[in-house]
Amino acid sequence: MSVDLSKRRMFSPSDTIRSKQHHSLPWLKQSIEDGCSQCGECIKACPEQIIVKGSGGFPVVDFTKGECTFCYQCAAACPESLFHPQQQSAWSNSVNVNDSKCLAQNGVYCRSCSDTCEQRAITIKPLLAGKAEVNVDSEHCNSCGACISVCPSQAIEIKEVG
Amino acid sequence: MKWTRRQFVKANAVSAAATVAGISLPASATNLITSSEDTKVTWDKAPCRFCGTGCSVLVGSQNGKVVATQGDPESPVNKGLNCIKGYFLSKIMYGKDRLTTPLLRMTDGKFDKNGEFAPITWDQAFDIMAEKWKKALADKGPTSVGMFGSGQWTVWEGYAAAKLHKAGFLTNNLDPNARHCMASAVGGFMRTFGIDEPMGCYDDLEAADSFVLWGSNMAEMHPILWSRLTDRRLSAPHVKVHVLSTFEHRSFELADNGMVFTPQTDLAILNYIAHYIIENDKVNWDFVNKHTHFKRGETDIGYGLRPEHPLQKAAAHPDSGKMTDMSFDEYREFLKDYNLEAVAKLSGVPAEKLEALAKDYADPNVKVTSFWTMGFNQHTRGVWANNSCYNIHLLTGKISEPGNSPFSLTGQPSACGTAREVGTFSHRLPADMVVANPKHRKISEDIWQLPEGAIPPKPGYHAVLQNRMLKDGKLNAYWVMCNNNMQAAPNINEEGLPGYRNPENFIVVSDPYPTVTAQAADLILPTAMWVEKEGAYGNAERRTQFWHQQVSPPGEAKSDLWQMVEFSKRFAVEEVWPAELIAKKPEYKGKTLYDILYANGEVDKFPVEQVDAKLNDEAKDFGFYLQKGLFEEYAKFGRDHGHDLAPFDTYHEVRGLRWPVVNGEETRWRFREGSDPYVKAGEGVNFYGKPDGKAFIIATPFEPAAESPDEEYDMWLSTGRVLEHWHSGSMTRRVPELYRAFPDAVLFIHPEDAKQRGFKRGDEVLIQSRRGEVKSRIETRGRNRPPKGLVFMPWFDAKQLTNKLTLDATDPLSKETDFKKCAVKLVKV
Repeated sequence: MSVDLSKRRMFSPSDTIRSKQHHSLPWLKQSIEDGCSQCGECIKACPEQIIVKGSGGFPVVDFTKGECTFCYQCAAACPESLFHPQQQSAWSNSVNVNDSKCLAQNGVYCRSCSDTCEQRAITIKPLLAGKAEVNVDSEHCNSCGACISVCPSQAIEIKEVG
Repeated sequence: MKWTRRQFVKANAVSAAATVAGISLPASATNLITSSEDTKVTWDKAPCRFCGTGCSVLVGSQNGKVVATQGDPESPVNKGLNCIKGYFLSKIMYGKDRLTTPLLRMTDGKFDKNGEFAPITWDQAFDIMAEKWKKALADKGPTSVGMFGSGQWTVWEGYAAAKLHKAGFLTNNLDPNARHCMASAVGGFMRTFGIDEPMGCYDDLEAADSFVLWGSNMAEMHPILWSRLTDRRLSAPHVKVHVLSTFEHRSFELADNGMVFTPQTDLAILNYIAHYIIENDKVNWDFVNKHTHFKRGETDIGYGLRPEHPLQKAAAHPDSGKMTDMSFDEYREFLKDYNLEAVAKLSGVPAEKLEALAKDYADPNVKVTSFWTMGFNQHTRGVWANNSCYNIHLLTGKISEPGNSPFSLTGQPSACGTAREVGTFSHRLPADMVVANPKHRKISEDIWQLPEGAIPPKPGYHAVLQNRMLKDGKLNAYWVMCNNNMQAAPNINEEGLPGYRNPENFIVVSDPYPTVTAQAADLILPTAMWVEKEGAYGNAERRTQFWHQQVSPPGEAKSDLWQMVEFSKRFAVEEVWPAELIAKKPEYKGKTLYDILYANGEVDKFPVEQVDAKLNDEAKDFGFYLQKGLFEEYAKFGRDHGHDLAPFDTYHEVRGLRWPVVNGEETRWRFREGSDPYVKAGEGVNFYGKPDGKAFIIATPFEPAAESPDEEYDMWLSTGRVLEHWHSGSMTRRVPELYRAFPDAVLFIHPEDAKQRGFKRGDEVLIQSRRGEVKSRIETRGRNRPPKGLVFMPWFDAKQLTNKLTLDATDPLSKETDFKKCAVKLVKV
């Protein structure tokens, strides 16, 4: 019987060790703890330098450092073949905007996330009294994470689905 | 001030106690131990220095410096609001490289066109200027001297410049930078209505049911008007916003109907709307029959290029603004080509979007306000575009009443009040009069106390022609004032710099800062700006606003007004005017231009004592209330002629008034009975700019742009602006906060176009046109999202001179350059 190593995370004080903006690598077949030798090749390969050592030394994507361009170089560099082929979708993640933290929704003019979204998945519609409605179109969003580091109030998070 | 130890301890004790108690101290309490004189901020009003909206701000000054500004709550324009540029207004005068002394290119203490800039005195500056001007006048006559002025001049500065040239040097070689900005709007007004400037006003923003933006990104370029439009849209849910542009921008955010069209096809879309109105029987016949004529405009008119240019040679009717009568049936027949299917195909806009737009214009129950700025005006068929938009409003009678308003917005704070109204264009005189009309010259000569025949009848060199004539060595003594034309004018390499550096020419630039233009000059004059002088601006809704001088300029800097009036003292009339002209007015013998133009019994009739402010450098230096004298003499041109201005002193008391001001009342909607005092009871509507009171519906077709993408130069380039910077950035780029907010220009491009050419976001790119190349960086994101095949680049950045790329093709009627369309290619660096 195999041991689910990812359960070890439960022993960590999650917020300090594992940041909310740390997420699984793209195209990963299974949890990183299963089969990753921590060789560091993916970290070296990432041209955006957004892969860092996360909890337990396993590589994670840190969206505070930038965005994923889906170049597949991390996956290609992996000696353990932990990744799906590039044709498959990288993630089934979604993006969530925290309504109470978001500046635009609270009367401060801000368009940082929609400006940075190349997919044009984030739309901001003005409302009365200087407020605005922020919508993320999950059809167009590829959860590249570009909107996360530019948000002045850290109101955007990626939700890992499945 | 000095603090004693006891005062310091006391102050700290008070604030410490307050902090513990969790309260913040009221201002009066914190001032307990500081003398109120030292902390006193003096507040006064002024219109904002930037765009044509004409927001009023309250200006706080202390110890001779402006220390704060805030939106003026009493202003009907901005109602206490500011945009980000207005918010940082207090900092524009305090850039570290502010010029404080005249600088002349010299070698070994003598003028040398190839020398280095060295400080000189004002006396020395005027000496060399007078020498160069007199030599040019003597060698080649009045057409060899000229000036390029500004829609940022105060009203009296523009008026003083018009007098100095048209009445003093007897040359019409005076043109403002408004030529790059508003000339097509002027041409449109004059052709359709026979009188310049919008009939409506900003009150339309709260009255319209539908807004249409034609080539105007109000969200970034007129943010305060945009906030009023947004409030209207959101508080009245039936209101619709249509936005048309050649690329998606911030204003699309609010758009119910956003349309990106292929460059130049706006002409076809305008005609389609007229076609829709007619074919769906939505013509307001009562209005059309009473108040309009149908006219056919001459076609195939060329592109305002040099006469030897192939495009110019190919034109059948180059530069022709001729119009002939046509019937309604002929107009209807003319519009047949502009049916929905054809125009959707040509413009690339989906048919249902075009139809939704046309429906709003056609519906008699929907009040429509159209706004436009540079998309229409910077267009080789800009006058046609303006005319065609009026056609739509005239066919439906949707004009000159609240909410029904074709409204041309302006880019400069006094494009209307100064550039257009006082006669600083090369073909114009004050109050819409033109030099080519003998009656207009006669009126001007009478008011200016000139001998008959003084004002030359031939229009002078316009903006682009001035650069061409400098290059060709025909314009030799040239003064650039209150603008940055080396950065702003098209085709810098071929038509800009060569003229400035032509050894035959002497170039003077007056500016507060060492701009690109100043650095290309031979002599730089340090200039006082904004509240360092008394001023007046006229905004886009005909509102004239005044301000007092509130601080002193730094060092030796002097206002544009002072510079021109002082310079006029250097010329004896005998050195400038022909003897036969002086013979008609022998009392002028032995006088200077200063005596004839400014100390003429009119301009100098108000004593210094009437100045109601602590500071007025010009009144002090010249010994009379110069600004008041110029304004009151100028106002004679317009009073009782549809351009009435209120008495001078009134404007210092109010938050501006919209002309015509008759019996103390301003006018909100011109040409409409009950609102406009010039429309008599029973007339309803009277377009009194035309002799029979009828406006023209003018048929003009779609004609292609001067330059379109081809196999080699495969992309359209549109230039423009960003919210944080105003025009060439000479002021806003010196405000640290604004500089940081948008430090360098970038090239906005569609992500797939970038990818296809091997560019990543942030990559350096070389943009090439047939005329030059500029380096920038790739931006696939952000506020502007061009369609495939088009790139957009702002021109504020002095390090990336966008105008090395642009073509000096102009509207043949308005002579305004098309900065929105030329062909470029992208090359890896």
